[in-house]
Amino acid sequence: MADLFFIFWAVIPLIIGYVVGTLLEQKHYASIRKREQEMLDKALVFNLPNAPIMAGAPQLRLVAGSVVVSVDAFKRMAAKLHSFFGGRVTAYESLLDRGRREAILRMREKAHELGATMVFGLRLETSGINNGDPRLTTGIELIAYGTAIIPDSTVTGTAAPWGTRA
Amino acid sequence: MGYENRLPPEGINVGKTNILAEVFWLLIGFAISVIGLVIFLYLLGTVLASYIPFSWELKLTQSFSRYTSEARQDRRSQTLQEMADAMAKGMDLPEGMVFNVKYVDDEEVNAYATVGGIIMLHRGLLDQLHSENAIAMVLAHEMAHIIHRDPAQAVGGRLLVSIAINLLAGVVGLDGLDSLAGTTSSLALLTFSREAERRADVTGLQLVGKRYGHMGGVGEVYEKLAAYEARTGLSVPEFMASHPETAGRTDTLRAEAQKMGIPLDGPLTPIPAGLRLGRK
Repeated sequence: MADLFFIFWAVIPLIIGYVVGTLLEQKHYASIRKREQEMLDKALVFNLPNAPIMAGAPQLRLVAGSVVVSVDAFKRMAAKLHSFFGGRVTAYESLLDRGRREAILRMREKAHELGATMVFGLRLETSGINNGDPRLTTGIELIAYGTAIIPDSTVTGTAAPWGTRA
Repeated sequence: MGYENRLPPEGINVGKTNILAEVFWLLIGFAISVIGLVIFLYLLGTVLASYIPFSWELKLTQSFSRYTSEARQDRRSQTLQEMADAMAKGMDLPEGMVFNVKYVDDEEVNAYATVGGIIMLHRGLLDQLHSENAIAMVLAHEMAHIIHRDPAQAVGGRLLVSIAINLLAGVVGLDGLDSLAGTTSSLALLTFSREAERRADVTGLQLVGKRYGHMGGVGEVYEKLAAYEARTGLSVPEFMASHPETAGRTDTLRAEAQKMGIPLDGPLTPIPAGLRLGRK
């Protein structure tokens, strides 16, 4: 009986984790897709190391966007089972996908605020947050950074960089 | 050269598997692996434990043998010890095997054998029995466990299993899963101890048959146990119980007695004076 009781207490957080975690993930994806659509032609982002030649004296700025996403109890258990059996950890894939897209969006939004039309040399870095317990993954941190180019507004007719369709 | 961003393609970086179904199958796989591992390690532990000489077992239990030697001074324990020694005399015992019987003065309806040849008989059970033969059967059943090395095997098996489960939990860091592993393993282990009870009944019967020449009075033990279970509601379905269903045990024993040529009935021996102290 006592054992069943323990199982019960182990299962409750998993159910809550699954239900709430799934809802939050759906909500997050909806927000990401909407903002990606809005940002589609603003602060274009590339991982090319060199910025294109632009008229006048454009300004270059370092821009970064970072996000921390937590793992729910259900995903954590799924990952633990995978750490035992191996295989593709689908539960974490969506987590990292959301993290990457959110970090890039935040970086682009920052660049757009600064008046940049493009961000070059995009880099992404990921780290796990484990509260000091190496066996545990509490959440992940994603940071996206790059060089934003703010065009020289004194040069007429070249608000957009040379060669851009915008 | 034109610069352009497009919407990121969906469904490349995230697998489309149903996580719920995936976790379900992983859990099933985990439970099967744990049960398999537990059964294997338990069997390994019991096999290894039966190779440990009884004298080692005695040495290991010396720390609490002081506790039992005090018991020797009380008259009831002495009487039970004499009964045990009388039954052991006729048996071909493994080398160095001794029995250490202790009377426990409390209400609990219980009797058990543990490592180091120690047997504990509680007043709650003895007070319900009305002949020396019945008490001898309880004693013989527990002696049989020791002769079969059941306590040592259970300790050996469980030790290996608990080491394995703790290692597993430590390595993988399974939050709720170690309690799941614990439950599945204790359910798997029940089956083995039930088989041990059946064997202890048969060897116990052999001991009583040799000492008293018949199995009269033996049935009383199981009748009283069945009545006690019915009264307290402690009876559980056979699958969950460590002891075989009490009601069926007498029939099994009768059949065994006929096979061994032990008469089913005979004159009962009254309870020895040493055990009658303070009895109602």
